[in-house]
Amino acid sequence: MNSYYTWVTVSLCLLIILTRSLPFLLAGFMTERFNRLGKQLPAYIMLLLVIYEIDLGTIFHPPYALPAVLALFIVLLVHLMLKNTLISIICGTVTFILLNLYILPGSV
Amino acid sequence: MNKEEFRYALNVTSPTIFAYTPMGFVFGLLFTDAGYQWHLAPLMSALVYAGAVQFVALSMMMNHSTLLAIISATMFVALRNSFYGLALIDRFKQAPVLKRWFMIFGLVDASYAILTIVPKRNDDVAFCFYVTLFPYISWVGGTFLGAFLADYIPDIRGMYFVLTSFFAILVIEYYLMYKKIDALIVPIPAALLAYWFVPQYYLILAIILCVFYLYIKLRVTHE
Repeated sequence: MNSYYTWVTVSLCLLIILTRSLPFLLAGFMTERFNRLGKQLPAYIMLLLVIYEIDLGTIFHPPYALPAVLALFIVLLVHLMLKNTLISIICGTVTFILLNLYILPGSV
Repeated sequence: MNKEEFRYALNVTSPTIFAYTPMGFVFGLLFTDAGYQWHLAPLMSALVYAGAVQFVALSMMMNHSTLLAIISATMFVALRNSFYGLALIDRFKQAPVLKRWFMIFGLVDASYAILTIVPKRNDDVAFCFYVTLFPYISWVGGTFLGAFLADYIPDIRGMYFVLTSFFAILVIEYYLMYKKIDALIVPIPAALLAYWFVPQYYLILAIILCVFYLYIKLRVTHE
């Protein structure tokens, strides 16, 4: 077994157990502000992850991450219309793959 | 085994089962396509059982990030779960130790949503246990299928965009839920600033900048 995989998986397992059991272990420390921070933070992180996945380095050179931006636009449209995670993912990914294959190659 | 609670729990978790199985499938598929042996994907799902965290870890593992970077990035994502338990401390108290720890470990978005909406049942421990168990089985089972069938599904260039779309959908969902416009704006300059300083580790620096911003904002607005 791959040791990188083992370390990542075991650490994440412990991390999840710790984060999920925190309120059961120390209910007194969970202040309201901390609570709100934890609730709102993922929204910021998810957008950062989108940026990270597109890879900031690619937006400064042609094709300026256009396939990704266009595909994300499709995701936004489809998701606002249907609100179905799976369908939105499929539409976005298919758009991205097709754009890379036929219209703006060389950006994958 | 309590048949009535089993059936009722299956009924209320069915939308979750339809959501977690295909997402698990996608995780298994991408994880195996990233070059790991197929059985490692369901093993990770069984041990970690956290959708967004696993997808974040996968995308960082594909970029060969360091263990420390992966833990710090996922910690901020997992932090959200830390508050779920607050509403359920008393309800889980009646369960025997092993069941209770499984229910705490398996307290994901879906089980939290169901348990906070459905009031206490006659055999509440059995109900809580099944509500935790069914999404768990769907996630791990979906991952198993995706990883197992990965060899039969062609590896298409650009498939990784599934991750990007998934994160983008969460951005949309969070916006619709909280209507906080700054969550759509602040991360962009944060990422650019972080990239300008340390291009290799810009994700983690950008996360820290956002935590800092949000902390100050909550302090100032007393929201």
